[in-house]
Amino acid sequence: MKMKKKFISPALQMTYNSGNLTTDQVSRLPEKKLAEYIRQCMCQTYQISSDYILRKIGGSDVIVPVGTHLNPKLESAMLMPNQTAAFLWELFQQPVTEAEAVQKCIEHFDGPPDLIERHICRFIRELIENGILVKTESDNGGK
Amino acid sequence: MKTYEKTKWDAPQILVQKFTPNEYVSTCGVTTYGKYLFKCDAPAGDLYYYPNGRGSAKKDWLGNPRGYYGSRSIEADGQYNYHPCSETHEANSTSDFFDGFVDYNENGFEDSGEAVMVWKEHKRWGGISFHATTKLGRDQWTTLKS
Repeated sequence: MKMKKKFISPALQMTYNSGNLTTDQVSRLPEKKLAEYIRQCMCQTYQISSDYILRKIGGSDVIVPVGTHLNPKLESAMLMPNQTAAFLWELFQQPVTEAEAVQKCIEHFDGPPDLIERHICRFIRELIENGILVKTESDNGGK
Repeated sequence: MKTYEKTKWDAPQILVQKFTPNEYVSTCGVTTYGKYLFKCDAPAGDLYYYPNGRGSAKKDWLGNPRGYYGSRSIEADGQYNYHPCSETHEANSTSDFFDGFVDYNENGFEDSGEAVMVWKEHKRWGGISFHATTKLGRDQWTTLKS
């Protein structure tokens, strides 16, 4: 009798494409180069730009743009993170990989891991696109 | 034994509160235009427009129009492989003009520098043509007074 395989809930692991290649270029990479590219993306560390600081004002977290190279959209603006964004903000004060951020959030918060992963991937992309989060050189290959 | 209760996960978001000066709206010099001379000159690419206006699109916390989880911009209609015809058309000022964008980096979203104004031309034989210009303000267009 043929043994059936155990069903595992289908899930996709998301990783922010932090390299310099477009998704089209990535799709055409040969297998070995693709594996290396993915490894590099997963080992990429990120850190909050020094142009922004987090302050506690009246018990609430407020991010204040203080630098000189700000995104024009954020000039004369105050940023108010929700609880999870503030947690990630504190986390990214040091160089951290996406996978490490996901792991820390899974440990600290109660929520579906795949949803947390998707949210963080999107959050990182948005912060990078707006110059708030910057890529850092990792000297240990992502720890 | 003391149980440790985790905080419920919520999507990380940052609310941006911007301090902008009051907008000055002038009512002087308003002219009723009959037709615009609409020059179709936006560079080629995937063209999208917002049927209900850019303001109706879903936005991220910085105010950029967004889809969800990397899907295409769901509030925008798309037309692929737009090429400028480089012609100047007489477009009735009451015809269909929409905010839109040409998706030069093909990520499905409107990024900085991609905004265009779209004119949806309804052909006499029932067809539709899309034209786009990078001149976003109607006051930048040449007009024919009625």
